[in-house]
Amino acid sequence: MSAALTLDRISVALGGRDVVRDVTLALGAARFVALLGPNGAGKTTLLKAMAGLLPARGIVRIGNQPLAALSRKQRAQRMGYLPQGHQVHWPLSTCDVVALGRFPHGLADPAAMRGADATAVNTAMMRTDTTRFADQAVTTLSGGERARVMLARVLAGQPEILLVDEPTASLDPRYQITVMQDLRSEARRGALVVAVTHDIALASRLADEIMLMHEGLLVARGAPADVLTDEHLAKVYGITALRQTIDGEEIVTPWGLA
Amino acid sequence: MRNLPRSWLLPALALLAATLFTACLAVGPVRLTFTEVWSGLAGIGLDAHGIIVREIRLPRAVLALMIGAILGLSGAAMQGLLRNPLAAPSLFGAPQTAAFAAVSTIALGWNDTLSWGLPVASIGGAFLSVFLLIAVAGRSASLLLLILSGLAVSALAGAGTALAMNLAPNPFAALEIAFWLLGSLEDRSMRHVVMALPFIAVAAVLLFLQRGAFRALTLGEEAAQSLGVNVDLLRLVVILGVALGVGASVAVAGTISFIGLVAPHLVRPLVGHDPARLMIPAALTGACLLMAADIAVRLIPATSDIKVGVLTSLIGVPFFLYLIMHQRRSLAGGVA
Repeated sequence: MSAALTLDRISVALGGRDVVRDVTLALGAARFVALLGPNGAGKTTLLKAMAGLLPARGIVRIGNQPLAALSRKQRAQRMGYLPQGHQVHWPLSTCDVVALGRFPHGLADPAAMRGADATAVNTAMMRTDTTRFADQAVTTLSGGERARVMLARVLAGQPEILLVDEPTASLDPRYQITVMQDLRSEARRGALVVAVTHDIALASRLADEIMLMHEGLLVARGAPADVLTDEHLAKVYGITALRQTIDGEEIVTPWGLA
Repeated sequence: MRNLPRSWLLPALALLAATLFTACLAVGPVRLTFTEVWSGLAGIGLDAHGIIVREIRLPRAVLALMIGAILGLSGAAMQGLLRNPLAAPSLFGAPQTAAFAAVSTIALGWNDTLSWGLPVASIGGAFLSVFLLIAVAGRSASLLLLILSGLAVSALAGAGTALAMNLAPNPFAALEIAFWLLGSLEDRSMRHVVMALPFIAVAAVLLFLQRGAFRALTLGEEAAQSLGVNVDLLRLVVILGVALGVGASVAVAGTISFIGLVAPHLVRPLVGHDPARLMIPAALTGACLLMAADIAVRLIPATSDIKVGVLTSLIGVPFFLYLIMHQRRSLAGGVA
């Protein structure tokens, strides 16, 4: 069985510096993968390279097809990318923003939406609990509500692969948990979800797999317990962690400086 | 509820445009009634009316309609591309640069006001200005950066035009240039319509086809790209479309400013701020504005004719100031 997403010796140079160096990996479908690492480790750059948004050396494959062999539209249909910051430049309604997720599938006018498009948009809004904002301008929503609308936008495209950059940044704890749970459920439905995050505690609990980056290199990859070791945390983040086991789940809380 | 304004907006605007178009044919030194206009158009009734309507007023009305529409559409397209409500061809020096290019070829004796070289020169000028602006201001430019760069481009075009007048071979050439700059639809013939129409039609199609991409750009360039939009190509197509539309308009009517800024603004709240749904209403509104302005200059009692370009600037600039007042916060912040 081929992996959902394969990276073959991916390197990305930005401003003459190798920000991502020689990353090779294969990720399976139906997995929730957290991409961790300190600021400047190259997480966002790697995510963009996966999405084909940056010129990178090496080969990215969706299934067994190289990204370069797919048209922009095909790529957009199979892969959803949610950038950091949740920018919205015009006060569009929630429904219109979510309907943008159907753009790669040829939806021209959200007002005339029907069939598969309407189903996908409604399902995405339902799953993210944003249906009640449908007619409201996104710019009037709170940060947490807006984050979920943006998530609904990518879900509406029903991509096989979901690449998400810091979905929980600047959200309150309730929304941090909700958004991470939303992502996990999407993985349970069969998508490969890769999320860049700084939330070690939530990632260790909810992610199936953790990839740890440091200075452009992928230093560790595997189950949370195997990756978030004291040694790795000290080396990569320079921190110590508090570990507790509650109901059989190991909780890793960043604690002090190493 | 979202769809309510949309359903009546287009018919209402179309009706308004049709009314203004008819008024454009009726108003002038010889006032005609509605029936006289239509019989004049159809070639029945008085010969004099037929000549006034078909040869004098029809070209003027058609030009007002198509130039207003393309200016409104260009404004909507630039605002969509730059995701900025203050973007408009005239603020970025496009008409001024187009006029500069056109007048220099006149001053140099390469073109007269009816040759095909004129739209080509002004389209080239407009393309250069928009290209320069986007190159200087960068991809995700802030309001401040765009406006400053636009100011610089306009100033440069102004200086170039001044130089062309300065170097003009005779006072008549200088006078011709001066009148050109005021922007007018007076005494135009079907020849002018034929000269501008192909470029304007191509521009309208080019810009209108990008509407979906403008909507996707609402989420920022990276998100748009991940949705399958080729942002670099889009930028080039919009520059080309705006240059074709503005350049061709300037070639036949001189500089007519601020329609592109005002028109999208008037309809934006009515279409829910969606840059895609904005395109056609903005074009219709632009056409209505220019036709109304061209009727107004004929009605305003003045010893000498007021040029329509003067009127649109007189209305447009205060409107621009009003917009700045409302955007003060984002301007002060330096980022949009």
